[in-house]
Amino acid sequence: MTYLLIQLIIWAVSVLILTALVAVVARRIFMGRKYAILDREKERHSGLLIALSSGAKIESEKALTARPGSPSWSAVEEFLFKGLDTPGREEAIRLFDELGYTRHYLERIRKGNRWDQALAAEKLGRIRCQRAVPHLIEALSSANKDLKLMAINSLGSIGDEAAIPHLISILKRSLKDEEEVSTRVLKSALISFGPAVLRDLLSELDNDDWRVRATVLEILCEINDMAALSEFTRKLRDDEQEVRAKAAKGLGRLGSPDAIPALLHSLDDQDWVVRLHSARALGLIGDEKALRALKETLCDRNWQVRAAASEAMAGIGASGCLELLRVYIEESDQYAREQALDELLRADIYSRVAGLLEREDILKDHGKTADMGKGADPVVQIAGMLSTLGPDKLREALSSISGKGAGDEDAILKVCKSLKENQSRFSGAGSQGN
Amino acid sequence: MEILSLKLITWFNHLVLAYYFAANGTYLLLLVLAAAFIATHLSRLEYGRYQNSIHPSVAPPVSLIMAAFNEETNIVESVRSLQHLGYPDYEVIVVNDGSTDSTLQRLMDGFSLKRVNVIYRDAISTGRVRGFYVNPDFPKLIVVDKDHGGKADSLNVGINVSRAPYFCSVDADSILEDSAITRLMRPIIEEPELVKATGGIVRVANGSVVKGGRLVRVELPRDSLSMLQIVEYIRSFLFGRAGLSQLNSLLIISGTFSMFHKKTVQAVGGYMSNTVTEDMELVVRLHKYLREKKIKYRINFVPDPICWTEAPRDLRMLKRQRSRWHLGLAESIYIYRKMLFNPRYGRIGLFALPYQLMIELLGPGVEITGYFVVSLSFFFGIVDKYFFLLFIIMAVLIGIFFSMAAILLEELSYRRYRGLKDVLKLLFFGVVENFGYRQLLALWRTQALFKFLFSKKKKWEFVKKSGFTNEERNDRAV
Repeated sequence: MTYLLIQLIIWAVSVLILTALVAVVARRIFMGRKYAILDREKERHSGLLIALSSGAKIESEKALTARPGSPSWSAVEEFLFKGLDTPGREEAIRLFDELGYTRHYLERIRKGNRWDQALAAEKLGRIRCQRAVPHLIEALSSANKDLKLMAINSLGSIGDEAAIPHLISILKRSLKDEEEVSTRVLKSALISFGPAVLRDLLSELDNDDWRVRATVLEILCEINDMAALSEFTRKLRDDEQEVRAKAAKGLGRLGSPDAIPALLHSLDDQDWVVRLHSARALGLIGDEKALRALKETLCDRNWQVRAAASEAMAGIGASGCLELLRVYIEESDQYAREQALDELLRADIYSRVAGLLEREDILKDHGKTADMGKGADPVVQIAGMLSTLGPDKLREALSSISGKGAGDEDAILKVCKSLKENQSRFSGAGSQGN
Repeated sequence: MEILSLKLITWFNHLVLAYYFAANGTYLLLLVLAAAFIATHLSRLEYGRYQNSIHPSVAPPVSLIMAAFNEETNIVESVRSLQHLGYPDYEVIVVNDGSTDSTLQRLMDGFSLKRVNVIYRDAISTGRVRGFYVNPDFPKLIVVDKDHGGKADSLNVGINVSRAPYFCSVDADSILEDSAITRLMRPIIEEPELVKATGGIVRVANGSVVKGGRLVRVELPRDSLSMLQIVEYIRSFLFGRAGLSQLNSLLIISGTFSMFHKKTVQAVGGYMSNTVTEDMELVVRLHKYLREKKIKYRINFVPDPICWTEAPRDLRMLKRQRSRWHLGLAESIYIYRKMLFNPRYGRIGLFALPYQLMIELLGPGVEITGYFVVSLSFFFGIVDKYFFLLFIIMAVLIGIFFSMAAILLEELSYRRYRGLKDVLKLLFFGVVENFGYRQLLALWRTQALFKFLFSKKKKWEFVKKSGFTNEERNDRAV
């Protein structure tokens, strides 16, 4: 019995091996031929892409007609898709219609297998086929997850406003876990509509579900339209911290100084994520008015907020760096000092000061240096502030902000000496920022 | 006594036969599942290009973390290859793990890096970090220099430094294809709440033409050892991992190239530093954590994002590599032995871990003992010559069948090796590997298992690579 079983297995496996061998070789030969034919067809139709690239109208449509799925059909299709990125885009879209591609894809959405359906939806989106919009909207309620995903993406690419309420509705359902669909792709599709989607989205900002409100703010943030400024500001007072954080982020993206008072208020929010995004937003707006509050935020109890505040201060510019230096030298809070130093190192303040001291035109010209403290160049103010420090404190500060520690003592001593020698020339600079 | 010995041998022969059928039955099941998985994946592949049209802001940022220890030969090319990936938002973190060669210097020279000091917060506890190196002209790149602490420790440093919600571990001796990250992220973009990790396919770059850190032409190597490994990699990835992924039972996603959800990895404490193969240990720990927390999740194998790596070119290095892998497998199973056959962990406890234990870990040992005992039985006349020959023929043929099937899957799917000559060469080595190579691997793996069971010394064995630049110069001129 065992012998028979083993013999049987040997025969069966031998047949399978031979089948696999033949299949591999046959497939390789078949595919080789298939691609050779496709290459020939591409060669035959290569003029199509050249014509589309030059924006010419294609007259010989009959020569381009082919049976769906044939090598000629695939070759022409490939060139038409490439043509979408050329000046002949409109002509390519017309040919998709005239040569039967659009009709074919619309049929496949309804009658194809699940992958054909999704592929057809994706292609219609790339063509930005307006005629496909009702079909794609219908596909949003399909049980085929891939078709649904492609329909969402394509509706975003086509940009027909009729799709907006449907996409928002599906977004709300997916956020409530009533629909299994990628919220990322949904967000991307809605962002693609740009300001056209604002009206529908803004009305969702009072939705009962905070996840909807937060996601809507996220989308609005990417659309980055000033029309949403007042709504972002209003949502800084939302009950949900996630919503407040997204609102702060959006205000930073808008970059409007009008948002500064509200953001300064949010620096005291009870939730650290909101404080973090508010600090970042103030940095992005880049207004010196926020420096004082940001400086105070360097003592926040959360290190990530402190890091965001220091980054924001440096982002505001050299005046922010000057304040950071002041924190490092004067502040008693160890965490605030460390954070300030971290940022000063990133901003490479030491090299900038050392570079300034090497500029002979500044150091030798008494006439000009007399005005240095007026603040035309903030690096001069930083140098001025450093020059007022006592020798030990100055050496320690330079050693820290150089990031070299005791490793480069000679160079640091040289900078110390130069700062002290030129202290009078920086007169007023140190106090400029006070 | 003699009768008892003969009875034992006979009993063992039956056991080997039963084991053999069970193991190959499982492989067959995996093969069928893998074929279905790859067919579905290929059908979905064509409209995967929709990813190019999605808004960059919804593509989650990714940190690529490369741990480098004495990688001076490849490091600059490897890092350079990461500068051209077609993914909208990513950063590259290279962690120099206290290299004793010029790895750091080469990086500094290659990218004109400048030392900066930043506050380092070790959310996951790590060894001492010595410094950070950046260049504003390469804003995506940050190099971290640290004390030597092993690959896991380096990856943990990378996770601490990372600012992205996902990170991808990449080996310094590997090359990613331009679309690799985009493809690896597809399951995450489509099911962000569900997918916690993804692993791509790793292929052998030996023989291929590498220029400027990029693989410019795929070619088969001239040496037999590399060829045998190419066939082995195809088999391992295209039907082993694809099949297990279909069952959401993937316990190994190669540390050479895998993507993780950072928060989930942080929640389990990052990589474990004192294991031999940190990648498998982490994946098993993720399964354990997610199942205990009753979180719905998936860990996916994605068969088309390709990472090319250099395979060992001599037997000594190959032995070291395989011994290390097997030691790591044993260690991971031992650490999580409580999950074995435990229904609380669902298919991980009832299928994935028992599969790794019974087939992957013990299989080589059973195979080697089987060769020995069956031969002994033949010499003692317990089994007759005819049965002995039939059994050997069956064993070899089944081995050949799985190699052929894997090559067929490759042919039906990705066809990376373009010429008819290439595919014939693959088929030839698919046959050849069953005459010596697989038995040699089984022997080394058995030795590794013994080492795990009886030796106290289980240190990381360093596998020396010659580097892609040598490949270019020695094998084929570009």
